[in-house]
Amino acid sequence: MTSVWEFLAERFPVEKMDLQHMVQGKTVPVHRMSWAYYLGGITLFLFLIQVVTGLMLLFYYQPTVNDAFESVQYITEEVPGGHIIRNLHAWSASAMIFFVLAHLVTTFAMKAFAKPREVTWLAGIGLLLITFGFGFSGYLLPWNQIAVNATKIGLQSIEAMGQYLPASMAHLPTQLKEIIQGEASVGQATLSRFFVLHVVVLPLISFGLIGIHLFSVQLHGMSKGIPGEVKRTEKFFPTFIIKDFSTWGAVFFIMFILALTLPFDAFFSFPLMDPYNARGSTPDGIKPEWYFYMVYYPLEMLPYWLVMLAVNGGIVVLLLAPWIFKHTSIKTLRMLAVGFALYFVIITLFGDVIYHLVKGGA
Amino acid sequence: MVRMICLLAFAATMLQAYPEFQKFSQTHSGRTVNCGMCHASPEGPDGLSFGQVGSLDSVQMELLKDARRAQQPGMDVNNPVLNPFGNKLVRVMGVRLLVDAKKDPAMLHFYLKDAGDMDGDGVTDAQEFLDGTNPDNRYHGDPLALFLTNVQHHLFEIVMIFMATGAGMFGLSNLLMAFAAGGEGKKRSNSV
Repeated sequence: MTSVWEFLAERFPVEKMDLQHMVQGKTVPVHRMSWAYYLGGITLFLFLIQVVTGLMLLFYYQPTVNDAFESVQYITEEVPGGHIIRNLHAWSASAMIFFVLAHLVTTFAMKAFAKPREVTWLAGIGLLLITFGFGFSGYLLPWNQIAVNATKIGLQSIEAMGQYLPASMAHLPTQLKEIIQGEASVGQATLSRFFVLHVVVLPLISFGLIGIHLFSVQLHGMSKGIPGEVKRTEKFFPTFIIKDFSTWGAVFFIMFILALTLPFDAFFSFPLMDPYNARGSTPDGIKPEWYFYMVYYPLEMLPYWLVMLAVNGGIVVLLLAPWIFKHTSIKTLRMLAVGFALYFVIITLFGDVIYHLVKGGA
Repeated sequence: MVRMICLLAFAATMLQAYPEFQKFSQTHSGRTVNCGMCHASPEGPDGLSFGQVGSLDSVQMELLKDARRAQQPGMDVNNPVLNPFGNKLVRVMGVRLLVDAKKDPAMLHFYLKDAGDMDGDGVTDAQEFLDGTNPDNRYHGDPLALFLTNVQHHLFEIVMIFMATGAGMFGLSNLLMAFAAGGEGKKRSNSV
């Protein structure tokens, strides 16, 4: 018990909890990796866009299987500026996931998880998983063909885990799937649960974790990030914060232009945008969102147990990174980070091509 | 039930399937295309669901017959099993030409060349047929074409939002600098 208190006292030093330490006296290292310090702020800003646009969409969205699709159509076609708000929500959701991953990779490469920043890291990993949860739960809400069918596939992959577990635990994934699903098949209960998760549960957990994450960052400052000594620093307030806000401005401008000019739905074939029809045939081309391709394509090509082992193993390694990589050099961490980034980019951009090459299809 | 079977049998003689166009559009674009490009129902005209022959009442059956008789281009049709784009095809080409074009589906693009852009998204219907996108949805089209069209269309808004964001950032930066300067001044006066 004493060691837990000691651990927390070191991570949350009361003597540093004042404006002088956390804002006025705080400095930020300046070096060739400094750009990475802005990625967390951009992710936070995109989360704020999600909150604001999500609240606006809530005024019109109807979370019932009969009305969900129509209400989304109504937002897009009838509500003044509705298509911009919906597009902004969709574009910034994808951008948020991109930046949260970039933030993860760069902080890992900069060994920002090292003592005394373990809590910052753990809260960040929690936020990463919640961000994926936002993506998965939000995907179902428009209740169109791709939304419902992709959710079905996602839930089936949870159930499939049962066959690889010991007999006494084999029923657990099915139970978990049923708890998430709420009924025999994806239906009203599923939509209600995903809606509540998406707009209440996950945001509340996010606010808590973001609070811990930011408080911890302010308390311990930015990590050094490079091997050797940092030769130059700049003041956090106002120099860094002004630059941070300027990147927010640039991101807002880009997001707004995308929302105004490039409908997110245009990237999907139009049959996937039809209202979900339980009695109709499933259209071709059902896939999860692009950020799940890193799991989706391996699942299509490799044994299920191997991919699940890699995914769950990866999450455990991430959670224990401050202890596993305690003595690992920044150079080695950078190589690992670059390896993951390359895998992610290749599988996301060329997953389909690789899949057809492996499977020998057209 | 008997009435329904008779109705379906009658309707089947009235209908002609055009999967060649769907297949061509899909192959040309690499995108999935279904019957919903031209038909009211994404499952096609046969069946009992909304927009399918089995669901039509007597008035709608008359409209279907009228559309079937529109052999020549230029006739106004409102076939209930077709969507606005499907009806437009019949209007622009007529049934006879449409049946002929089944032999060479790429010809549809040629006939539609001057037929405009029914959803007003800036991508012509002919091009949307080639791209495998929905000609009747202004939020659906080739992403690059939509982007370029919309940039031109919303240039004023883009300039305004650029100026507004820039002005907002300028104001915020100066506000933060003023806070910082105020804090420094207070610290100095405290130390004196």
